[in-house]
Amino acid sequence: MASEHTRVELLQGTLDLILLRALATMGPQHAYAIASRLEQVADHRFVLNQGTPYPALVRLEQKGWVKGTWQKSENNRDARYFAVTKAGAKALEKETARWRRLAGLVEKLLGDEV
Amino acid sequence: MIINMTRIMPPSAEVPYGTLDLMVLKTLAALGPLHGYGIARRIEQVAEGALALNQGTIYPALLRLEQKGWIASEWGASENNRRARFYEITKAGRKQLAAEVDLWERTVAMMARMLEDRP
Amino acid sequence: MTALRVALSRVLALLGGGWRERDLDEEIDTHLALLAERYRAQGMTAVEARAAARRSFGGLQQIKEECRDVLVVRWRNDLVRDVRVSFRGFRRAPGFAIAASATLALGIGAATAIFTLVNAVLLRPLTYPDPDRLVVISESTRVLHAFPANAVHVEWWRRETQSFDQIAMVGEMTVNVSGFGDPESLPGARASSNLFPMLGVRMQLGRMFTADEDPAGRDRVVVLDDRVWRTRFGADPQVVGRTIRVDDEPYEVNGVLPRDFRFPALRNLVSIPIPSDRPQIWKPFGLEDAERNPIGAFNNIAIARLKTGVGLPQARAEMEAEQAAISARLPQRLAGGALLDLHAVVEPLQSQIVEKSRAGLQVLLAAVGIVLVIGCINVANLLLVKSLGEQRELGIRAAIGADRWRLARRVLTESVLFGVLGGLGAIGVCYVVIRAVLVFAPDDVPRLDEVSLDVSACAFTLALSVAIGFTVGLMPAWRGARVKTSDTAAGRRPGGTTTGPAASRTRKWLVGAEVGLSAVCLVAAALLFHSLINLLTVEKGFDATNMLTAAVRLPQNRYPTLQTRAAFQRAVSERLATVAGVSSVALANQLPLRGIGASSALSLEGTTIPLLERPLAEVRSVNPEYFKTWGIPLKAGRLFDDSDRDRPVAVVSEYTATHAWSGANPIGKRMRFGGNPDAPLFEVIGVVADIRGVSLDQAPGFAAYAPYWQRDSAFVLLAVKTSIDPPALAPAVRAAIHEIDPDLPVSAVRTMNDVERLATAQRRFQLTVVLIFAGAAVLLAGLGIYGMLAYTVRQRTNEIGTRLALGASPRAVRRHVVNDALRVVGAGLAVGVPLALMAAATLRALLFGVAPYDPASIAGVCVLLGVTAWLAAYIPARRAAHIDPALTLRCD
Repeated sequence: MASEHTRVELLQGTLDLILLRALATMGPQHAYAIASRLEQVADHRFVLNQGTPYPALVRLEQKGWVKGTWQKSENNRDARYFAVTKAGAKALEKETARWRRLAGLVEKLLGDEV
Repeated sequence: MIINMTRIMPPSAEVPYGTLDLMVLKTLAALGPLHGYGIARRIEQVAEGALALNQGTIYPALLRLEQKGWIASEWGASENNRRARFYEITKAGRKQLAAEVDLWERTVAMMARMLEDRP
Repeated sequence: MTALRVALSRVLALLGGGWRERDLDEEIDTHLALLAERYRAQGMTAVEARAAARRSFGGLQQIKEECRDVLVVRWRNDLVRDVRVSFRGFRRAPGFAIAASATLALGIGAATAIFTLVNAVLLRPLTYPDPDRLVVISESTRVLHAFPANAVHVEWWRRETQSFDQIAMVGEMTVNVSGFGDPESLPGARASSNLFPMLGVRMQLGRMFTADEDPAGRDRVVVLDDRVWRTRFGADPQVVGRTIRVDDEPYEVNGVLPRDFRFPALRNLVSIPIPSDRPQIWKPFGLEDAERNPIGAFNNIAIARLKTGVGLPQARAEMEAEQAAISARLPQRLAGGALLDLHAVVEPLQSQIVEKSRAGLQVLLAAVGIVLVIGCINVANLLLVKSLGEQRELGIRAAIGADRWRLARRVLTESVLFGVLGGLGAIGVCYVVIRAVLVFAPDDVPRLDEVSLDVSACAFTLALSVAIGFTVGLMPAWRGARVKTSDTAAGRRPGGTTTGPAASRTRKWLVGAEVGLSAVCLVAAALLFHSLINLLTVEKGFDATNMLTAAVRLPQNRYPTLQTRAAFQRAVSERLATVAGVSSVALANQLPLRGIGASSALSLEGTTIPLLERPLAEVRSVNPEYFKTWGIPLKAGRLFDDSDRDRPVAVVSEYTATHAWSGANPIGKRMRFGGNPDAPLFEVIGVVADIRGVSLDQAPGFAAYAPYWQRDSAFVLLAVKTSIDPPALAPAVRAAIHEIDPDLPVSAVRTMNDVERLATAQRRFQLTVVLIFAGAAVLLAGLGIYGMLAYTVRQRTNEIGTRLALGASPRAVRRHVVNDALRVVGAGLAVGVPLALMAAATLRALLFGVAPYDPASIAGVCVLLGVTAWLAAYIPARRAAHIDPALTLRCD
């Protein structure tokens, strides 16, 4: 059971959605920037380390929803910048809708008096 | 300490296991003892067609929940007078439900923040 | 792979309880039915509804697969948890854990050890290639069954039969070997050149015999056994080509046999008791012309390999026909004018070798098996008591919802854990027992040196322990699963009323079974003990006290004639008589109790009996003082002395006098030894008392004694009667013999007591082992009775307290407890004694002078078990008598 000192991983699939949304909003970013942003807005109870985005980005790239290209970063280092693809944008819409549906369903369920 | 709640990939359900557990527990907490069909039916009803749930997928979930001691089962007779297992939430299950609900609210809140349009 | 997983999960589901495959199917069926009903209500047809239900359910197989996965994980976790809990329990109550594991370790370890031995000796096939087709061919007649073969006959068999690939011939040969250190007498064998190839031997060094070394004169080569090569030749790699002296003749060493070559002692290849050890040195057969007598010596062992496709019955039939042909062909003159009637016995080599040991080993196996069963019963009882003690805790657990099957599984896991611990201990015990047996076992048992504790034996031990642990845990586990929560809830002590009588009845039955089984063991031990006593006290007919013995073999080249051999014997007997401490000297070609010396047919003068049906007598070549030295009284006529040199004379035993001449006075009658009508006639001049000359358990038979200067022997067995302790005289005796011939090896210098001990070694060993097991059985049974009574007293404390309060005397209470024990023992004996009698009937072959239903033994066993029961009941009875009624009435 989760206590004050334990953290939980995100629900499956939600991380993908969060990343897609973040990239769509922020424009192409490299992983560091994404991770920092996530840390800002995420609930501290969830596991969102600096390393968290990486496997998810790989997954998203495999699915063809993002594409990473090598560019020079702010401090002139080489970094991979990820950008949402056209397919990704479509997926974002679908996944967002799906999430809303699921959230709605569960809320409705939870709404029943115990 | 980090609790690892990774789930096994569901066969082709639309519902991640995390929320399935939550839904089952809540259903049982709200409606009292039900058999497998009843639980699936109830979830379907609430979804009002918004969710295509493969009814069979609740069975592995029920087994896991029972293993963890959050629900308990007993044989009984169903409406059509066939033998069925009836599941009931346990005290430990209720505690778990509360924790899951809490986690859920946080997730929803966070997702809402992430998904709202902001520059 | 999937099939395996399905099977595995089925098994796990069975153990896991709760979620079983069938249950899941039923549940899903219900679900689908309800779904279909709904769709029917919506207007679909039955078929459509069912299909729609299936569809919305999802992939049936996948769902089931997932459930199985979940189950496997759970089972694994549960197992780990159960094991950890069990270990904690062991640490808390180590006494119980130790008792259970130790009992299993001892029982299983001993059982596996004995089984390994029995396997190595009886069951494991010989190490030669294709051992099933190796047979031993013996000759036989109507009168005498299975004796060694005649060399000429074997040559005829080779030429004239079709059933065998090869027929090899082996003869016994004890030789004096010198040229590499002190001269020594070694047991050896002469073998035809086809023996080693037939047994698939690969020489370690050098080569085997070739066919042209077979004939006499060209056979001056030897091969050495590995052991003598290592101990006497220092494992010299250059030994091939070395010349050594065998019976003072130069022989060249051709090769060394491989280390793992095992050839049985020759006495184990024949059905008659010839004394011989495992051959250490081999030479080609070298059949002398003088030995080519088809009605001469029957000394050789014929080992043959059946042709492929030829079965034993076919070979036997052919040999019968062949022997009939031989019988017809032999010159009638030699046969004394009557028809010969030879038969053949063809036995598989393996069964021939182990035949004599079979009965004894089976007894061992049975004894250890019984102890093992009793041990298991005790462990089962221990677990049962423990589980009954835990009923309350289990009841509470069940009441708060613990899965019944989980509880049962925990008990089972614990008992399997005992099994594992016991199994590990058993491997150690097994090793110790095997070592002990190898050290203490008599040399008689063939193939015993092939025994070793190998990996498969260890694996078997572990598997057996786990299986036993599992089995004895079943009953307590089942009880655990059936525990009634209502008992606990109502505050009743579980197991006190409803399960109580049933449990204690079971335990009584188990203890009764233990008693019965130990009775079987005890009866066997008693009978064997009785037999041994009978054997040791049997009237031998001679006096073996204060006798020192030694053996020499006179080599052919230095003692070529009867005269030279006789001269040696005269010289040595005269010299020995002068040694201080020697009262009298006996010489013979064989010592008493050492088996057969020389058997010959007694051909009475003028007999018309067919040769091979004439009485077969033990013929000893002796000196005149022989009878005085051994204390054999003269019954009629006179003994021979040095002056009897004009005509051959002999003395016969009483048995011979009565049976060979059918009661007529044998004195003055004449006879020949053997079938040769040209052999000299010996006149009977005296009759002496019978002795057990061959072995203790063989009643006296035909025996005759002739002077050593008239009947030849190359073996001289000396026995001196001493006035002081015999071993003290050994150096003097050796010295005296070496004065006569310094190069003659003197071997086997032992007292007659040693010889007797050797003769009974196997029996004593067997008895020792069976006594040990019987003792263990009684001990375990006693412990079982004690445990049962202690538990009963504890359970019935209230009842006893009440009775005491109501005026029953402590003595009556004590008596009641003891009677309880005696009743169980009585019941056990009622079943056990008939069982023991049946088992004893199979022991007949091992018994001597005692019937299997010997009443004294049975009575003794009953008394012993009764006393055991009384002893076992002592403490519980006292405890019962000392119960304070005030206390018991107050509590609970």
